[in-house]
Parts: sequence; C-alpha cells; structure tokens
Amino acid sequence: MIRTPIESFASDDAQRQRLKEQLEASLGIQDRKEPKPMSTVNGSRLRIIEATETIVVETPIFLVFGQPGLGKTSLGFSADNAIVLNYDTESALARAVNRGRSMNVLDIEQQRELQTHAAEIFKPFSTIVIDPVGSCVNLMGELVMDSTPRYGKNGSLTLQGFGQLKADFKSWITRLRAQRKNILFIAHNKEEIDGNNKFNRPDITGSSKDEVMRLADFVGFLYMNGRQRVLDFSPSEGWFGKNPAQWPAWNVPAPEQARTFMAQLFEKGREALSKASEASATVAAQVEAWKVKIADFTLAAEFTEAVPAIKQLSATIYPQVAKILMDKSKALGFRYDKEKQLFTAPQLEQTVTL
Amino acid sequence: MNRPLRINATLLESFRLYRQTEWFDESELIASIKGEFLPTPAIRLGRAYHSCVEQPQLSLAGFYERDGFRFEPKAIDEMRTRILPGGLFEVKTTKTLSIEADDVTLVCKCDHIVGSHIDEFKTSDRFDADRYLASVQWRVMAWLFEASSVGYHVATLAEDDEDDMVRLKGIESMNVFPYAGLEGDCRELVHEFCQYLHTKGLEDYLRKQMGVAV
Repeated sequence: MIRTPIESFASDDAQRQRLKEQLEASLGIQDRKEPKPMSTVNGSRLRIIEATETIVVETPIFLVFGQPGLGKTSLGFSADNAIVLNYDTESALARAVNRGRSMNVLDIEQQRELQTHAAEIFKPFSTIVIDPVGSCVNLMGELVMDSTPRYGKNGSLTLQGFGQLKADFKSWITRLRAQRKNILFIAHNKEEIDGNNKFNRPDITGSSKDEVMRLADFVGFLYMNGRQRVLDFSPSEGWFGKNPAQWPAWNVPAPEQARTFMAQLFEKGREALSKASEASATVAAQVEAWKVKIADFTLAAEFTEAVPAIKQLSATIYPQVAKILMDKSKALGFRYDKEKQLFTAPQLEQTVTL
Repeated sequence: MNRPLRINATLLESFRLYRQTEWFDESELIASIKGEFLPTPAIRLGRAYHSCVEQPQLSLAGFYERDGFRFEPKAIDEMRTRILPGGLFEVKTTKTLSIEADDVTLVCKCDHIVGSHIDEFKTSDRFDADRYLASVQWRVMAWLFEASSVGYHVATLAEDDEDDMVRLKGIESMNVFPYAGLEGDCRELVHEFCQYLHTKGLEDYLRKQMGVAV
C-alpha cells in the first residue's frame, strides 16, 4: 500500500493533522472547491497557474481523418450545436446524413468574409467543424496568392508564399480558438506505401498539417473493419493518433444512429483531460509535500529513515522524490551506500595536537 | 550471472530509426551502442540550449552562453515560460524487464517533470510533428514514469553569422499521451532490440556498472 508523506512521518493523529494543515497552507489547497488565484498579475484577469492546480479543459480540439465516403461529415454534424464549414463541394454536403447547420466556404471571397466576421458568425454555436481542413488550407493558399500575387508562380505558391500560408493558417486557428468553442477538424487521409507497409496521414498541405497535429488534443483515424466503421484514437503502425482518454477503438454506428456521437466524445474527452490534469495536480502536491519535508533534513539518519517510505511511492512520484532526496544529500556532502541503503555524513578531520 | 543489459530510451529510439527509416545508418546505431558516438554540432547545440534552459545565467554582455554557443535572451526566456513552475529538471527512472534469459534495465531521463506531466525541450531548424509523434522516446517515458502527458517544446533556431548568436525563430509545443497499447509497443521494441544485440554480439557493451540511485 502506498502511504502519503504525512502518514509516513507523523507519529500520532495530532501531529498528522498539524502536518496536514502546514502542508495545505504551504500549498494553498485548504479549499479545493473554490480555488483562489495563487498569483495574479497586477490585479488583472491574468493569473499564474500553479502546478498543484487542476486545469479544466473546456473546449478540446479533435481531428478525425479517414477515407472519403465513410461519413466523416455526418460525424461532424453529430457534435454539439455544431456549424460545419464546408470546404469540400456542395454535393459533398448534400450527401451528408443528419445534416445540420452548415456554411459553404468554397471561394476566396467567402473565406475572406468568414475571417472578417468570424466572431459574429460563430457566436450562436458550440462547435466549429472544419471539413475538410486540407481544402481549407488550400483555399487559404489561393487567398495568399490573390492578396499578394508575387507569392504565386504558375498557380502555385512560392516558398515565401508557403511561409505566408503557414502564418495565415496559424493566425486563423488562433482566432478560432479564441472563440472558446469546441473545434473539430475533419480531414481526408493520404495513404503512403513503403514496401509492404501502408501509413495513413491526414491530407493537409505542408506545415499546416504540423499545426493541426500539434494543436489537436485527440487525433482519431476512421476506417472500415469489414462492414463496421471504426474510429481509433490510439496510434498504431498504420497511423498517428492521440488518445489522452486511453479509449479503446470505437465502433461508429450508422449515421442515423449516431446523431450525438461526437457530442458524446467531446464530453468524454473534456472529462478525461480534466481528470488527467487533476491527477497530475495531486501528484505535484504530494511531491511538494516531500520537498517541504526533505528540506528540513540535516542528519544522515533522517535521509536513511526516509528511504523505505520513498521506495513505496508510485512510479510517477518515486523518481521525483528520490531526486530531491539525492540532491539535498549531495548538497550536505552525504554519501549513499546503495547496497546498505544508508546515508553517511562526511568524516570530520581530527585535530592533531603535537 | 550476467549483469542486466542497460538500455536507455535514446538508444532505443536510434534502433527504431534504424529499423523504420532509410536515412539512419547502422554504423551510427552501432557507434551509439559501443559508446563511440561523437555528438554532431546540432546535438552539441541542443545540449547547450538545454543546459541554459535548466540553469539560465546571463553573461555580462546580456546573452546566454554555454559550451561555445551564444543564445539571444529570447531563445531561452521564451522556453522558460512554457514550463510550469515547481517541477524538477533531469529526473531519471528505470524499470527492469525479463527478456528471455536476460534481465534488461530500461532507463530514461526526462528534461522536466511536474506532477505527472513531462516536458521535453528540443532544438531544430523546423518543427516536424511526425518526427515526435513517431518517437519511442515519449512512449518509454510515459510508460516508465506513468505520465499523463508528455509535452514536446521545439525551439526552431537559426545561427546568425554576423554576431555569432543563435536566434529564436519560434517555439512549437505539442502534447502526446499514453494509450492502451503503449506498454506492449515498448516491450516489443525492447525485445527486438535485444535480439538485434544478440545477433550482432553487441550485448556486452550494454552490461555496464549501474549508477548510484536510491
């Protein structure tokens, strides 16, 4: 059984309570229900987040990619109060089952207008679906050439043009994120064949793919397993994925039975990210408690006595506390005998009187 | 009885690169196994950068300098803002596995850890998400530390010939997460690496004296 530092060191209930109060005071965790700002910056809304605080992720970012015709757009409509920005064709939108609210963005004027009025357009919605994100990037490339003709040559972007596209796409996504909405990127897949191996990547031009992969909290690959649609967020030999919730692969029902599929995944994803943050904050608080305790050690015996309790700590906490202990012991000039699990103080030189 | 094989995450990543890419040469892998690998200028730059991030000390002239590299202050200061306060730099952990008749000690060291979140600092001339997503390094770290997430912070740097200063082009951060089959993937690769070491007769290079740890 894993014991907390308080349980390891307190000799009785009173001391346990006292230590607990001291630690909680030093960590600022007396009241978990209403976390108070630990440090504010000049009284503004900006706030430094401490390691021991839980970060609640309100609006996760998803990327779902897969072959055409598997119903990715229909999945987009299954997100909560979604608006689908259709960068594909009008017919692609027409094929979608369970079609909800959407907006065609098929030429550069529409993209320009969307970028200008984004906040106003997205205000009533909870989820922004960009479908497919590869075509969005291509359209933005056209916009770059239209705005700055020297960034294009023979209908393609120059190297500088690609640089501008990268900057523009990044800025556009930053503005979308600032809306504090759920974001769902949908992408077609690009299959790369290397010998007998096939690898699937989202079909997004250049470094914009890096930007989407970087930003997405969840990356899932949609494929057919026999007659079953499967959405798998775990990476494999055939694709990259991101799966912070450690979900198994999901069987995706037929579109008419999956009207809330993405809405549910967003909700579960939000919970998983927040839970991971909470678990991390708990670990940080425990490490901090050990740090406070070890800071008071002055005798080799105190270090030696702490070893058995430290060895029982979890795989996450143990290496951190072990490092704190070893660093402090080295600072005091103590030596550690690994075989005997014993710390010893340096021998003082004896004064010799002639 | 044989000492355990000591395999670190970086070496395992070299093995993965050798197996999965065309550009990673076997001689480079063998040199790493034998401990004969000479760091390239890019690796030396990365180490100097990392050292400055961990212990930022401005020179009197107002820049960061380490191992012959001079960094403009922004290059280090901006990376420092990406790190949650209260964590620890350079934390090492190990796990002992039984692979056939051998004991294998898998070792990894993270650049920074706070709670159960790990941060890794990298330097490059450009950010390539695939490179980090494919890496076995974060998988081993997530497994051994039982981390909830690993954040790669990639500083894209350029050396300015005029004043011999390394300048920051940008920092890209990307989180990756453990997944259900992660441990199996790591174990499989360790197993394949052990077979490779055995076939090539290179095992003894990795049976070294263990370092001191609690």
